[in-house]
Amino acid sequence: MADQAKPEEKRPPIYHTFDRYARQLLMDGWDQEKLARSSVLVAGVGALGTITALDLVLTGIGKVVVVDFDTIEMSNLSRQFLYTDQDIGEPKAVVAGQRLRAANPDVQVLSLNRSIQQVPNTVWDEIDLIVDGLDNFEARRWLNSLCVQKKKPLIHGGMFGWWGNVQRVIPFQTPCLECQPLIPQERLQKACTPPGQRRKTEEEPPPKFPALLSVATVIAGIQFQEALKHLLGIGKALDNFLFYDGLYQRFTTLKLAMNPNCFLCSDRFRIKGEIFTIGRGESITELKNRLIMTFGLLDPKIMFRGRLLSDDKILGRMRVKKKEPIFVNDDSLAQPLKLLIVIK
Amino acid sequence: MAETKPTVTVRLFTVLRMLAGEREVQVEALNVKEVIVLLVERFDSKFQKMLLEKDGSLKHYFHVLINGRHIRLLDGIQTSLKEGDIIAIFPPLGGGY
Repeated sequence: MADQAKPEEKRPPIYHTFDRYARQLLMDGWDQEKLARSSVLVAGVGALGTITALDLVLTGIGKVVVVDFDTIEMSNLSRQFLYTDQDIGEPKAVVAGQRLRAANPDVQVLSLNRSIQQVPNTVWDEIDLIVDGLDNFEARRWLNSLCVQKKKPLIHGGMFGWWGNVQRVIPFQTPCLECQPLIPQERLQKACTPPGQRRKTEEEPPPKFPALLSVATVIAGIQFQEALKHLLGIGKALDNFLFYDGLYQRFTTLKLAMNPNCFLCSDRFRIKGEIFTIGRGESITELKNRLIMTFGLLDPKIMFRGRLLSDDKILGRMRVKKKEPIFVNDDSLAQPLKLLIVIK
Repeated sequence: MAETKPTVTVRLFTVLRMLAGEREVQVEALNVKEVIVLLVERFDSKFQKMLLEKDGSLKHYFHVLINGRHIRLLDGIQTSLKEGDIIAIFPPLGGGY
């Protein structure tokens, strides 16, 4: 089955009847027209993503984009209630799109059967808010990086067994996902292996984590609610990192600090450019390892004067001007990291 | 004269909270390392097994935040504490599964 590579023409909502929304129209501060003019992208249509996508569609958000490159497996069916046994092996985004369109024909649903990194710019540009239901950390970091770059709000959610968490990222106003290094350290360690070994590791099947529909419902419900409040511009937004403990039925919030040295959202990097000192004899391999350790990158590639530098090169021997920029590309970054280098 | 140690609040999350049976505790400690030692003394061996490696070091995947700042951006477990600091300890949570 093909996805919808080209976004459909923007069309006004159909509104077969406002009866569909009769109860929510009674809510204080509600603006159905405003929601109908909004576009939300749901990254990953697994347990969290299927629930938030359905919530968004039923509520009458104008356009909902669902993105996933994965196919449906039997083990998904205990949580991902947009799918049935007959869908096993089919692309999640495509099947989710079909079910969502059937759930509310008022809503324009765009299905993209591809990785989040392959979503075209034309789609990002018309999105008002992104809901994160991704299940891998590289893609999540990339998405966070993109949201910072494009100044798009991101409602992040995660879960593990009985526990879940939600974080709302408003770029440059609240901490982004890189401000505090909460990405599991195993990924950093994995990233430090030489490229050959890394490739071998990536071929291993991803680890299986415990997951429960009830927790997904709570976390996705909160993600949806935060998205809704943001789109409507009402209520008090979640401004802390929220923990949910389903086993003992407790919500706890934790204040996260913005990082004045965050390489994505701090002024230090974004506006001034960060000065990065490089040893006179330091090879590109050594420099890459330092970048991995310093910024938690996965497999950085270094561009200097418009060319990618091979691992055997030594910047200290290339007549580099003081504070001349290098650009670092990585799978976890939606845009290159600019560093002003000083050779010592 | 004995050194006065700051009183700090330690908030435990997820599996640590389950094993400790408490949401938060107050301890007197000069740095994060002392906090970890005090927690391990206070709770049972399952708690210790969850939090520490066999060699007694903090398991690398646990997050420790002081007033919302990760100790990896500070001085690690040697990070000094001051009166009233809020310390949060939790393992990483997953994705959208």
